[in-house]
Amino acid sequence: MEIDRLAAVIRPRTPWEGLDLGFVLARLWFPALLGLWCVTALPIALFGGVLLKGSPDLWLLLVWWFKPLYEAPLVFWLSRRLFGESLGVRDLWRARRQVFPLRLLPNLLWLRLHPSRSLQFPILILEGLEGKARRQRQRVLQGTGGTGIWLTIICVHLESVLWLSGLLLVAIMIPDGLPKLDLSASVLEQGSTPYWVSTLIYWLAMAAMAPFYVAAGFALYLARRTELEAWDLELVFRRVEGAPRHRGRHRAQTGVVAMAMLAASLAACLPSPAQGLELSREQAKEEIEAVLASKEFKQTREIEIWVYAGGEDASEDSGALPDWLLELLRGLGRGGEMAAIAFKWLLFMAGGVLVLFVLRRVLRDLHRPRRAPSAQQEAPMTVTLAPRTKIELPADILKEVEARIGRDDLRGALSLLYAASIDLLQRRYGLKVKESTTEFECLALVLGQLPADEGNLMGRLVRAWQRLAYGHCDPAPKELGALIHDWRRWESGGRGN
Amino acid sequence: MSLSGVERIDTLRVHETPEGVDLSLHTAGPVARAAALVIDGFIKGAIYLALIPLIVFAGFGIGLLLLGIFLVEWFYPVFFELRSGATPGKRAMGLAVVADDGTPITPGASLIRNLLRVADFLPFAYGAGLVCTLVDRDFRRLGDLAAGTLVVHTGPTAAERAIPEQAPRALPWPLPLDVQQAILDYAERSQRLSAERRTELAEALSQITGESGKAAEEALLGYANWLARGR
Amino acid sequence: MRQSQFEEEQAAVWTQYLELLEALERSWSRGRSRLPLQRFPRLFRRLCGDYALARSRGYSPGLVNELHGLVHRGYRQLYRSRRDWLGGTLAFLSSGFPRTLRRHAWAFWLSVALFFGPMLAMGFASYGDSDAIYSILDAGQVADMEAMYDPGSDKPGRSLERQADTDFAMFGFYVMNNVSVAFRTFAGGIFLGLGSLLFLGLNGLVIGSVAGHLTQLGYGETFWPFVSGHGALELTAIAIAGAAGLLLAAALLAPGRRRRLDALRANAAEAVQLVTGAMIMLVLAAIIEGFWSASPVAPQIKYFAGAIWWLLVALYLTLAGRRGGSGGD
Repeated sequence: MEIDRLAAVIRPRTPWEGLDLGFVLARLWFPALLGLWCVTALPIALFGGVLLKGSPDLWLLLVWWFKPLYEAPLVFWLSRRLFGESLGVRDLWRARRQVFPLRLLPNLLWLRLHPSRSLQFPILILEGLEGKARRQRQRVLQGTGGTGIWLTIICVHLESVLWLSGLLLVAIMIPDGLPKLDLSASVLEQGSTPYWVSTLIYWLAMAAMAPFYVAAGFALYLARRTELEAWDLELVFRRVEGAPRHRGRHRAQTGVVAMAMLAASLAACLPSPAQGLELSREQAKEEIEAVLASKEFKQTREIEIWVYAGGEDASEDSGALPDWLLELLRGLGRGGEMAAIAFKWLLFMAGGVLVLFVLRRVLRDLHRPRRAPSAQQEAPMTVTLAPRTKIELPADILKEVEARIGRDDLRGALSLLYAASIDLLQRRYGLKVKESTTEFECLALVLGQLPADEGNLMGRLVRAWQRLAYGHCDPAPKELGALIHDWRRWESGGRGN
Repeated sequence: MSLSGVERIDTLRVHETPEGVDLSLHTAGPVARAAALVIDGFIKGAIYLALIPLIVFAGFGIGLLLLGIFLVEWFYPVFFELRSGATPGKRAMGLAVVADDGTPITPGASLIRNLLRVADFLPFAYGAGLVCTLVDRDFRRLGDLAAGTLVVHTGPTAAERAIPEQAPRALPWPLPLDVQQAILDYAERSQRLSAERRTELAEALSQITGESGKAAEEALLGYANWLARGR
Repeated sequence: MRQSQFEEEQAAVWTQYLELLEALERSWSRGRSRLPLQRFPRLFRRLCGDYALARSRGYSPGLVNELHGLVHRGYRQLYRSRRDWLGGTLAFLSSGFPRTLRRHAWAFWLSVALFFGPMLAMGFASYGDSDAIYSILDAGQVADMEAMYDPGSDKPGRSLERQADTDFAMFGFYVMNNVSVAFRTFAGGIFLGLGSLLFLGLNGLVIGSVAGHLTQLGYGETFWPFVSGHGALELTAIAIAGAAGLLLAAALLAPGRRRRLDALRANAAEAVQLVTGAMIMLVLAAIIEGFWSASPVAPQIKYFAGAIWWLLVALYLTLAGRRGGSGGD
């Protein structure tokens, strides 16, 4: 449980970003988390199924009610996994007093509807605080943002999205020969087989969502602690070993266990209590139900509403409407009529103009010669690079080069030098250089066919030229001087450097 | 802060720019995105409501209404993403849509990701999109995958980072770089911590400072001043 | 070098950079032309260097974050795509779109087959058998359809209840309905092409059955002049949207020597061009359908106009952009 083995980056995050870390953790550790969830959830589901096989609703309520029981081991497992220790079921059983502390009980009874359960659980299970101290701490970590509450609300809805999506998918995927899944029965008809199928799919959706929900709450807890208590810094500080002479003494301390880290007693050093968004159970319940009831959270598609606006309608209602309003409506209708005509012609014209413009361009393009190389493509650089384009090489190359250097035209000077080298290579050694040959291909040819000295000179020249041409780095005067010096010897038949 | 060399889990996606520096993009997960979606849903609903009075213009009004519904339905996100990188809902949640190399989104990419909403929406209320975001490394839905886009947290505006003045104090021996940075970080963030917590954190390093209580805190701030400002 | 010294030395550069950056970030600013914006890339590289230095020297996280923010903002400005909307659109329509379509001719022809095949088959079936249409549409829909094209009604192509609507309302309806169909046909492609297949086939069947059924009833004299005007644009555009969907499917089914994700991305960029083109064609079709198709013009003229449109569309898709360099994306 070394702190060096921390599995995730702990850094200051906004609460929303904190949630995202949880989703990543849950995704990476999904099989383990899901398996762990099933260890407690499956027996209860099976037992409940035998007990309440007549009423899927009650079964679902029972299974749902015990959610905190399945989630507690996940929190504990996550807290250890974060520090690189992967616990098995047996380890958890051994630590059962910590995994299922007595203070969990209220969460199965009157605190079951706590709106930010997954944020509270790490405090409850990992920090070992009791009573008033714990409540204060929960309030502080909850903060003012209420992200923990939103997490619960949104996850409930994501769960239903998974449920209904799964249900529809099953309904669609059933092959033709088999009995169809009656969708309306699956939601409405208590006790029917489709209803059971739907309930089971809901259970699966709960199972799929649980790791994400728990891990997101855990990560939110970490994010809040990092923000309020700079917990990330504490992790670093605790790892620092003492002065070299003290090392032996402090070695023991470096292995501080994760639990100690997580549970460092903090009651005394809490930041000034923030205004917690505290809801009583009833309020919370009401709020959840109100939100659940509101249609907006079901994320339905926009419906195309056909509003009937026939004239008959207006005349039917005319008795109820004052005359001036009728007159106004008629006027507006006439105005609309006129605007419609105007728009009609406007649209015609716009469409016509568009078609004509495109037509004109198409025709113009078709009349153009096939892919004439435009002047733009021939950048000045290419002229100097392509060795066999007709560059008029001056008689005394080095004189011209030095003249260009004198004019501060380094680019011209080096390009001339390079072109002249290519010319020389072709004349003297019969090197085959095509127009498309790049500098490096040239150099490869030279290195392959000429003695090392020439290759060396050519290499320096190519590098200097490329740095200047593409990198806009002027060569150092000394380097330039050396190049010219060596080039002179090469041209005059002597060996370059 | 990694010592073990194991890559640590994070929600970042790092992109190296042509200049050779690493930019980190903070990818945003399903919860924040779902919230943004709901907010956008409300705004769209409000726009639809505002469009309904158009029917007083008889057929012309209905034509406009239908065009308006069509435009809002398909181009509401495209319009806002091209204009400012995020729909109002996303902006309210501090999110933005960017290309996966961190550059602003292009019209083509925006069109792809928003037309493919249809696919993400299936079979019910973004079911496919939800599963895709849960499974994908960078929380991308189908539309994001095809368009090569990411939804990222734009992050809070830079917090105050002044290091409190204190007489500089040399480190007793060279500490690892990550610890030095943590000390600087401590100094910058200390004003946002409670007084007790400040002291407690400082005491975590008492084996180096050799101090406790308020003196430990001052010692750490001294180190930070020494690191940042020198003698 | 100590952090504070570093900050002091670079402060001037950072301020100047920030000034230019803020000017760039404002979408419209008056003094922008007076600012030395050509210096921005150089300053940006300076900032990149400073950020890298600050990171490697272990300066305080606050400073590193601040520089990261500055670099990121500059990066977004420097590497954003700025485009000439009008010129780009014209270039796209005059060459980019038909070229893209021709590049993926296989997808287009496959989509045509999947769309027109069922359409023709169903058309002949319901022309021969007056009950065949009921395998596709229910009785109420068929009755509506029949009433709409009853030669006794004065404006064909509108169901009875919409008789009072003006042309403009119909235009709005056609845009909304047809373009949405095209978009869905495209998006369905991501499910291995099944969605596109379904939409193309279904639409083909419905259109075919209606055409066959009405002709068989003797309503052809109102039906065919009505649809002849916009048929060329509308039907072709739906097929093109289907081709776009098939491109997505192809990336997933036969990615070639790329990862599926990369193939999907590359094909989606092409496909979205097809969808955009199809959308523009459909809006044009809606203008024709709303204002021309139902107008009391002699059927002969309508047939003639329809033939011209087919010719234009065919020539456009085969020839436009074959030569000349004005590409465009």
